This record gives sequence, structure tokens and C-alpha cells, in this order.
Amino acid sequence: MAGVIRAVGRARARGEGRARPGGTIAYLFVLPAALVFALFYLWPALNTVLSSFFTWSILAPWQLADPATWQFAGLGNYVEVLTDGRFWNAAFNTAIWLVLFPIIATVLSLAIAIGIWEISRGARALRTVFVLPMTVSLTAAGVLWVLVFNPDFGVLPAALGVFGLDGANIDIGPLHLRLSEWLSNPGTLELGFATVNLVNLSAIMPAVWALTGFGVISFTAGLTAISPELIEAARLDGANRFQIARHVVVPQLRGAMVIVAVVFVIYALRTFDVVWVTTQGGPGTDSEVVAILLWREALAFFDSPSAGQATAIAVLLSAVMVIGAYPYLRSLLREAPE
Amino acid sequence: MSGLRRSIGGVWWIYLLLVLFSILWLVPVMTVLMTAFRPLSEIRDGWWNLAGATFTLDNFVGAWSEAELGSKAINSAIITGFSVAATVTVGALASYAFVRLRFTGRGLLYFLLISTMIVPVQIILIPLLPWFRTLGFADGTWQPFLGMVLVHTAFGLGWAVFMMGSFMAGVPRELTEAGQIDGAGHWGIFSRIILPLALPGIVSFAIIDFVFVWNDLLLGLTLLDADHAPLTVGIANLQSAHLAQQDVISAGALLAILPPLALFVALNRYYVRGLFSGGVK
Amino acid sequence: MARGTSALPSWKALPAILLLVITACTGGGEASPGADGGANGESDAPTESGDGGGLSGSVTVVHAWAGAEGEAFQSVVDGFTEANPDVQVELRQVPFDDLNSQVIQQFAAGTPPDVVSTLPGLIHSLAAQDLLMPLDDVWDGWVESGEYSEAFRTIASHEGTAYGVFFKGNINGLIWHRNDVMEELAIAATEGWDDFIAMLDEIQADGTYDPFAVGAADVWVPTQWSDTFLAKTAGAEVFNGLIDGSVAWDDPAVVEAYTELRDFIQGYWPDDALDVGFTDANCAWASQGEAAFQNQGAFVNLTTPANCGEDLDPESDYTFFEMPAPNDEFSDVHFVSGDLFSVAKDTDNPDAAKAFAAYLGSADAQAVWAELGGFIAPNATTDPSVYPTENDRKAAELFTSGTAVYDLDDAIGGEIQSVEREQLAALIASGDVDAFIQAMVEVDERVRGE
Repeated sequence: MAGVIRAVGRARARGEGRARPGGTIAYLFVLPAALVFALFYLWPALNTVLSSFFTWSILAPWQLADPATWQFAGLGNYVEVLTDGRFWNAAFNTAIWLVLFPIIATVLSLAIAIGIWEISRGARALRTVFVLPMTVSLTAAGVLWVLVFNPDFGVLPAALGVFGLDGANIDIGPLHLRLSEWLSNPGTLELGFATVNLVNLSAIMPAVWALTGFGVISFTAGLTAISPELIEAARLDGANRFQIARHVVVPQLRGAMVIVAVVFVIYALRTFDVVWVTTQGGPGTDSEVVAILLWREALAFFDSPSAGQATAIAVLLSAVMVIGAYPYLRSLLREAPE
Repeated sequence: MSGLRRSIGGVWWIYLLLVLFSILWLVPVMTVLMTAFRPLSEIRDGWWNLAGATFTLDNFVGAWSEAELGSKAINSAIITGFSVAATVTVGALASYAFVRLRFTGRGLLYFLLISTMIVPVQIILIPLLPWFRTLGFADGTWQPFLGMVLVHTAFGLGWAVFMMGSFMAGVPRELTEAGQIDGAGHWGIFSRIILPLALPGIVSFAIIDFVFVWNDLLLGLTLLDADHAPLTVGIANLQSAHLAQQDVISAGALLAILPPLALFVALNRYYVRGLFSGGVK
Repeated sequence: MARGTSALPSWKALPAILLLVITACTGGGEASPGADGGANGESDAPTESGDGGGLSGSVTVVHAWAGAEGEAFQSVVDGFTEANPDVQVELRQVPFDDLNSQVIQQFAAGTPPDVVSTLPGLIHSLAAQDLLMPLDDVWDGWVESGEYSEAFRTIASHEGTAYGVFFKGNINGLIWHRNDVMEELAIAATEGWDDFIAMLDEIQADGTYDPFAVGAADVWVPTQWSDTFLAKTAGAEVFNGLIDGSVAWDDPAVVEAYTELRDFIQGYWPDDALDVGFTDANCAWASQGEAAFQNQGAFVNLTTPANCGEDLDPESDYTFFEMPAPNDEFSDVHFVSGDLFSVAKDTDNPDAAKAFAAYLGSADAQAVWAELGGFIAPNATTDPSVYPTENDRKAAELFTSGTAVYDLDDAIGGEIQSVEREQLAALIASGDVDAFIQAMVEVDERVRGE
């Protein structure tokens, strides 16, 4: 972190004349923000970290000002969390999200963006169809998809039924599809060391539906930046549509793909809304992701003071995200206005 | 501009695929529209049975009053409206400071703000519950709203400064220098030169922030009681109850979807432009 | 480059400013929750309590009843507000699956309702943090007048002090069915477990109906089944031992009960049990003709017409028989449950809140709902004629007969309850009894220590 700050400072020094010394006025401009940020973000964040080293319950919360109520646990909460099978189950489900969601959403949005780019008429209308769901909250998206999964009047079971596939058991190697009960047991995948309940996909689908639009927008922007000469040159060389797409277009979009994938990964790590509304982490804990476990540790497990474990999970989750997205963070900072 | 179609034929199958796909993409929307605007008894065998379809607004009435989603929609409006206003105001001021001024701690504060774009909301969630209580925001008619607005503002400042800052940085130096020569102080430059020119960026951000706050579930679920809960929490609770009230839930979901959707449709290009200055929350 | 020549403090002074702001703000806020008992605006001298005309103000009540049951509860509340016209009772309904976390959240936020629906497990946790109002004086009166037995008082107490009142009683393990379906299947009444299994085999062979409709999408539904099996296979002692921790989850009797349950699930449950919710399952046997039976509580008597068709008549269209015991020895063990209510210690209106809670425990209040059906009054002085249908009367009789054990996961609460609900869902999907037992042993150890 020190390196980053130094980088910013160096940049600042280089752009010597750009920002004027602020003096009093600077502080007045930034004071409201700093105050709100400190009180409602920094302090709670610090509190989360500090309180993760204590044992406490949400009904008798840890308070910095009241040492008498402290029950120091050192790294105890972290040890409990990291040795808890349920935590690793949640981490596993989150890992499923981490792998599947960015891949599906990125590939899909890439294909859609390129497809739309290739046609002339109706591009705008088509793009709108894929982009509009971004305004829908993940909660509402989940509700919509629960309707689609409904065994009695949902489109998915009905459509499958037309082909006689509703409830069909299809086994392909380690993949056992059941094609029914989308919200509890649509199928399993044997991975040797674990069996993945595909119900996670039922929560991932609404998220893909809602957030693919972001990829479409990003890739569309990237596509418009590709110089036509490159394409012309390839065409003159006799390349067909596919080859051009594969060898010219996609490499040019690499930067956008990274950004899109990173954003999707960040979302996957902290997903709560859509899982909460579709499966509530169930059946049992088959789709319980880290964010849901955290919430339960804080508010539902009241028979033992587990809020310390909840905050420990929050710290772990944040650490993973900051470390994992560090390069992204650096690139954001490099764009810092000087 | 799509450079391929004129020179290479065979674009019809791309059209076909795209149209098919977009139809699939619209299925959830059709589902909710049908389930919300038709009586539940008609939907039970599949909303695609259009024979004898009737149109009804009863589900909305039920959602608004019996399911009490009306008061929750109003709560959402209050929270979102004030949050966006506060975030834009506070954020614009701060953005100007980051872009045009130098002050001690600028680098550190900027770093902290930007990191909120990556760190999940869970990092602040749990202590906020007792913290609200200490600050007196847990009780009362307007206090919980104030607390939520402040939390959303704090959480949105990183995005605000990043997005609005980049737009402000794009204002040509000549203009600000001209203002300085004319004797305008920082406030003058900010209000009369920077703000009007960075307005598109500010509007972009406001839209994105609106969508984000309006659609929030976790903060509302954890910090607010039934009287102040936003629409998202209302819908989530209806869903967990498994009451087979799909008609009411659909109407409620539409109520939740419409405001951000309308905003997007009306101000489409701002939204897209805003998203381009970085990733999405 | 010029630093700090201005008069304003540099950013390092921000923390000091913040501290000032914080202390200024906390001046008006509440002190730390719970630890200092009763220093927060509670009136010390109870004025004219028990004098109906003297009560005023508002009382917020959180409960988990929706639909027909919600309306029934409203009628009960109306009875109170008629007698106490100056009191406004504000009802707030939360989804039952989330009752625990919603209640905890409200108490943690310092804004609990005045009166709240609780279960014994929740009562223990809240009382341990000194968040509930003791109700011993109310119970003294009740035990004396024979309205409740000491056994009930114990369930509603934490460490010897009563913190809850009983409102709604319920008995579970009832096999609900339509009369005409039984006729159609030409089934004679069953005596004992083997007959019961034979009957189910017949129904399955016949194929017209699924033996059971199960609403396992609602996490509490599988516990209706597991507690029935536990009570009638392992008996009351083992059952209660699990609640108070004296019996371990890997006790052979416990393992046997859950194995029995697993076998039953795999034999007679529908495949989509985990996808279907209680309401849909209710109608699957009551009006949709998909299943023959549903194993549920007495409240189904009320929910069935409301959910599945008002033309359904509890007297003539549908009834129940109690599930026979897999272990004959325990055929008179009945698995009951109930809804209790507690009063928040920090309530702004202690007199009205307490009076409302006392009202809920009274025979009068319970009679109001009892008359609507699907409700068993735990208050022993309730007039038996209030029960409108034979179904309700039968259920009420069972409630007070034999040996009653109270809903296991409700009695324990907290993480163990959460884990049990989840592990049951896993058991349903996988059939792995060992994994279930292992998980329960682990969470038990984790929460209760060795």
C-alpha cells in the first residue's frame, strides 16, 4: 500500500502545476465527504476488524469504549472459522460462483456484443434488450427467475416438457442432470473430492441475466475502438467472419475482457441478494455462499456468541477481494485525476 | 460501425441467433408482466395460454396495501432520493478538491475511497447495527432514514469521486485558468465553470447511484425495521414466506423495477457513458 | 508544496473532530444494550396495571402468521382493543422462516417490538441478555387457578424465571387426508405401524395418488416429520434429553429414529418434496388430488379452506388420524408445539404490553381463535365447546392426553436449530444418516461445549 501512495505522490509531483495548493478551501470542500466517510465507513470497517478478535454476540455487541465487556479471543475466531466445515462449504459454493459466473457472463456478453456489432439494423434495439436488466435489482431478478423455475407455470419446465425433457434424468459422465426441482436439486456433478449440487446454477442464472449487459456495453465500446483498417486488411487476406472475429477482434478486446471479468469476479465474491431470494442458501447449505453464512453467523445463530466469527469472515472476504483485485485497484488509482 | 456485413454475406443467421436469444432474454420480463397483470387463477396453467386472458390491476392494489409494499416503495424513494442528493453534493465537492487542489492526506484519502469500490459492504455491515443504536439512528420516524442516507453516501463516495473526478479532470485547464485570471476563487470556479461542464458526468453518476441504492438489499435488511424497510426487503420477505402469492410478488417486483428502468430509458446515454468511466459496483 | 500555513488544522486533526462529533451525538442516544438493566426509560411504578380502562398508548406486536392465520390473530387482537379502547395494537408480520433472525435484529438494533412472538430457544437467548420482561406474577396466578401446569411454565422459562406466555397450541404428527380419497382407496383405519406401512404400500402400488405431499421447501416442514419420528421411536426421555443436552445426538436411540425417518422418506415421499412449499403441499392433497396424505399440525384445519378453496368443509371433507408409532412403546407420546409471546424489557409501554401478553395467555383470547378452527388452546380452562369442528376437538384432546414433548428445534433455537433444519434438507436429498448425525454432534459440541 505504501508503494501505491508513493506512486500517487510521485505522479502528483510530476504534475506539479496541475493542482493548486488548497489551503483552507481545500479542506472545506473535502470535509463533508471525509466526515461522512470516516463516521460511516472507516470507523465501522475498523470496528469490524477489531471486533473480529473478540467473542461477542450481536445482542451484546463489542464496544471500543467499554473494555469491561471485552472478551478477547485473539485469533480464536479466525481459527474457528477456518476449521469450520460449514465455512468451507460456503467457500466452495462461492468458488463455484467465482468460476462459473464470470466465465458464463463474459463469454455470453462477448458473443452478444460481437454479434450485434456485425449487424446493422436493430443493433440498438437488440442491445437494449440485453442491457436493460441491469437496472433490475438482483432481488427482483431472483424473484423473476423463481417464477420461471416454477414447476407448475414456469417457462423452463414447460419448455422442457414440450421436448419431453422435464424431469428427465440425463447422465453424462460425472454430470447427473435431473432437469427438475430447479430450486433444490436440478442435478449434481461428481468432482471426485466433492459433489457439486447444481442448484448453485439456479442462483447464477438470474445474475447472468441481470449483469451480462455490463459486458455487452463494455465490449461494444471496445469494438467501436477497433480500427476498420485492421478488419479490412484481414478481409483482404481472405479471412471469413469467424476468423476475423477470432484473430483480430477478440485480441483487441483483451483489455475490456479483463476489466469485465474482474468486475464479475468481484460481484461473484460478495453475492447475497440473488441467492437469498432464490434458494436462501438451500437446500440445507448446498448453495450457501459466504455472504449468507456471514449474515447468519451475525443474526441467526444466537445460542452462542458468533458475531465475532461473522466479522472474521467479513475481514477474510475483504482481504481476499483486495488481494485478488489488487492489480485492478492499482489501475483504478493510476487513473486518478491529477 | 460493423465493418463486416457489407463485405461478407451471411449475416442472417447471426440475426436469427440474436433475435432468438433476445426473445429468451425477455422471458423473465414477460413472465412477470403476465403474472402481475393477470389474475393468479389464469396463470396457474401457464401464462402463455392467452385465450381468455384478462387484465387486472388487483395484484398491484394487493401489493401496495395488503402486502404493504406501498409504504415500502415510499421508504425506498425517500432513502434513494436523499442518498443520491447527498452523495452527489458531497461527492462533487470532494471530487473538485481531489482534482484541482492539493492538501495533506489527499493521496491516502483517495486510496481509501477508491478501495471501497472493491471491498464488499460486509466490511461495515455488522458493527453498523450497534453503531446506529449509539448514534440514535435506530429509533424514530426520520432518524433511521438519516442513518441509511449517511451510510449509502459513505459507501457511494468512492464511486462518486472516481467518476465525477474523471469528468472534472476533463474540463480544459484554459477555462479554469481564465476563471482564475478573472479573480474567481475556488468556489467560483467550482460552481460556475467546473459544475456546468462536468454535468454529464454528474448526471451519469447520479443515475448509477440511484440504481444502486434503490436496488440495495443487505443494508436495508440488516439495519432497518419494518416501518422503514425499502421495497427490496419487502419483496424478499414476501418471497421467503413461500405463500404461493406469485401475483402479488410479481406486482411488487414490477414496482421495484420500474423507477430505475424509467430513469435508464429516459437518460440512457448518460448511464452508458457513466459506466464507461470504470467498472460497475 | 506549501504545507500547513493555513489556520485550519491539517487532516490529522480529523480524528479529534470526529471524537467531538461522536460524543455529541451519543449524548442523546441509548446506553449500551442490556448490560445495565432497566435504566432506559422504563417506568418503575406500575400504575393501575390490570385495570383495563386505565391502559393506553400503543403496543407493537411482531408475529409470523400470514393469510388466514393472520386474520385469525387479528380477531384475537380485536378482542383486546375492544376491552381497552385506548390502546392501539400494531401488528407486524415477518416470514416464519426468518422469525429468529428478524427478532434478533430488532433487539440488537435496540428497537424491539413491545410484544414479540417467541419460541423457547429464542426466549433463552433473549432472557440471557436480560432483554425480556419477567412474567412470574402472571404465571403465579395461572398456575394457582389451574389454567396452566408447571410443565408449561418450565417451557416458557429461562433459569427459573418465566419470560413467555403460551398462546397457540398445536399438535403435530397428524396425517391429514380427504374423506373421499380414503373411501376411494378403500382403506380401513390403521392400527399400529405395520398396518400403516402396508396401507402406504398399497397406495403406492395403486399409483393414483402419491402417498404424501410434503412442503419441504419451507425449512420448518421437515422438522415436523423428524420430531414425530423421534418422539414415537425414541420416546419422551430421549427427546427431552436432546433438548437439555443430556442425550447425545449419536445415541443409538436417536440414530435409530433418524434412520427410520430416512427409510420412510425414501420409501414414501414425493421426489419434489424440497421444491414444494407448505401451501402448495396443503392443496396437493386437499384440492388438487395429487396426494393422499400430508403429515402436519392441527393448524391445517384452518389453512386448508383458506388456501385451497373455501368450499372445503373441515367437518365432512377432510380429517386426520395420528401417525402410529414405529415403536409401540411410545404410541402415547405426542409431539406438540406452540407459539409463545414475550414482552421486551425496554418497552415504552410496559403496562399495556404486559396486559396484552397476559390477555394472550387467557382462555378468552384463545377462545376467539379456537372458534375459527385450526387452533388448540393451551389454557386448560378453555371451554371445550369452542372448538367448531370435530377435527379441532380431536386435536385438542390429543394435546392434553398422554405424554407431550415440545417441538425440538424450537426449544433449542439458534445455531443448532439452523443446522438441524439445513441438515434435514441434506438428509432428504442424500439419505445419509451418518452425515446428519455427525453434523449435529459437531454443532452440539460447538455450541454447548463438551
